[in-house]
Amino acid sequence: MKMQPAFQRFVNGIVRQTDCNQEERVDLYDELLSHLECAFIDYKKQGYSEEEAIRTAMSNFGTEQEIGKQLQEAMYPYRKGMMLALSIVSLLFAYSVYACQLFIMGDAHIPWLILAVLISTAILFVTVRPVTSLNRRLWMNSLLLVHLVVFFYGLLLATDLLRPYSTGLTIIALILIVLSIILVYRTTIYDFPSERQLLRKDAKRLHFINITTGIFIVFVTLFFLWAFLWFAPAGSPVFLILLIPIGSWILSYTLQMVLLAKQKKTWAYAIVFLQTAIIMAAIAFWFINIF
Amino acid sequence: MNKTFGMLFGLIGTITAAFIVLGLVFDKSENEKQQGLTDNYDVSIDGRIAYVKYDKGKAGIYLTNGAGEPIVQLPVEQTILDINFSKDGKTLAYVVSDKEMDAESGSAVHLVNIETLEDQTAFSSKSIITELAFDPKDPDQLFYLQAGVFTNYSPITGPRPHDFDVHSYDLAEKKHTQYTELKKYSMRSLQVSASDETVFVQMDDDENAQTADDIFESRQRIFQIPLDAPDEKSIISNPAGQEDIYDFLLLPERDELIYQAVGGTGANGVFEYELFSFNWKTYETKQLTNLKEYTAKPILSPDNKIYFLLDREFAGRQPDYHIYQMNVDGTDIKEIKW
Repeated sequence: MKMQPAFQRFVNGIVRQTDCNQEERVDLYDELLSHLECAFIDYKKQGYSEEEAIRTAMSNFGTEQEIGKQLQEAMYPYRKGMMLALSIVSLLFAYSVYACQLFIMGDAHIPWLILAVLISTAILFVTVRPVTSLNRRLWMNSLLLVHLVVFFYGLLLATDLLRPYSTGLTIIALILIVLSIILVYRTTIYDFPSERQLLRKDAKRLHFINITTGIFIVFVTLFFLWAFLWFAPAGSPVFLILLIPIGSWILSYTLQMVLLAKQKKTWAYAIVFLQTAIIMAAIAFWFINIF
Repeated sequence: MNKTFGMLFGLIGTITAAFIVLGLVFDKSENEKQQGLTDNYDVSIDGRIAYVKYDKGKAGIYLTNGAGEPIVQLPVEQTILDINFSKDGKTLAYVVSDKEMDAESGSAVHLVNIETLEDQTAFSSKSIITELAFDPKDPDQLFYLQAGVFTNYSPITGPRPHDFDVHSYDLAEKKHTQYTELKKYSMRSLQVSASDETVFVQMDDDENAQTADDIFESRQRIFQIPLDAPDEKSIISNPAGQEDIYDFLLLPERDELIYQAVGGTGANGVFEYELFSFNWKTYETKQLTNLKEYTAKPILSPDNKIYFLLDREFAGRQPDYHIYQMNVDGTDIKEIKW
């Protein structure tokens, strides 16, 4: 059919602007194409020539950019805006902190600048040009986690500055870190749920608990790392102890997801309950000893 | 669209490359970062102030009525730990050590002739000398505080000079004398009596401490040490006072000493150090300053004024010292500008 190449190009242009994975894109592509074909047939029946029917069907549909944007917003509300804000503000923050560190403190943090620019640009790139061949959840979360690490260091660089520069930049760094964490939550739980998990609601619940637990464990580990750096000599094997909670959490999280994928819901919940109970007991033990 | 993205990423690359080049050009080593006035200064008998100032990490000695150029300037790796005018104000002694001290760091004591600016090394030591004080009774006697070790006695602090004792150097006979065997954890504010053979220092009152708690509870006080019988040292600050005294100036003709102690705590939790006077006859204590900053190093000038330092960035990254002046009773406080 003569109409198909024009419609295909048009629909491709629309779906390319969404954050859908390959499977979702195929569905969306087929659905949009069938809408256009129906409209084309209707216009033909109304006496339009073939070329007029194609043109009218596409023009009544709207522009590629507008429809793509609306579909993206309908499927993933505010996601693109959040990602754009994260990448652009991260870039501006990286340049600002680097310049302040250089011209006020006399320190050129070149490796950090390169890492910060690379990760911010990568997030900007996948936001404006979604790559369908990538495993969206894995890649997005990997980028966001690297972003968190790099910009946590950026937060330390911001706090290290003289006032008033440190105050403003520290607030921006904290906003970036919070935004990055929110995006990890929504990427994992809402935007790109795993295809392997049939128990979607339970998966969401467990992801939420585990991500929150992970953030808490990483925060506590960093605190102890800071404290150990004061007392233990560098390279001491005591630092390996600090990896135990993070390692245990990764193991527990993986196990829960594997069990849930096999629909062993009770076992998955039993593990998350045990994990939470151990952390609560550790917190209680800590408080009793401190106070 | 592709062109727009290409330009955007090209712009990001160009800005990043420009910042990297700027970084390579303007990056400073730790030794090049110090800038401005330090807490080392002295006032000569003719009212001239000598002060140590950093210029892009280079420690230099400047004079208030000089041409603005340093009379001494050291390489960025070295620092000036103390300066002291001779009684006649014609010679300035200063002690040089490494900026980044370690157990191998030593010191060199120099003498500068203020009129000719001739600089000579009086002596060098393999240990760290932290303070100098000319003997007002004998221009050839230069007293100094020397640390026996450079280490960290506590795991939560970095290594510092410790095991302090009082020494002197006879400039004419080129002979060193060690007067005390105290090996004090900390000792400072060395002053030499103008009337008898005694020196005064500030140190911990921990002689009778038996336990770690006792040491923690001990106070820092001012001690008078007779040079011919150093074991007979005595406390001249309020012996029952519950405050730590950090720095002091003796005013023997008034039976007073002016000392630095914590006067309060600022809104941000940082201690405010003020100057106080204590009369050892009447035991009367009076607060002289109420500047709510960090005041330190009181020095008596020939016109009977008290000079002192004020740090407006105390507990900050870099101190911001200013030299102030006041009457001995704490009135008429004003900043010295030159």
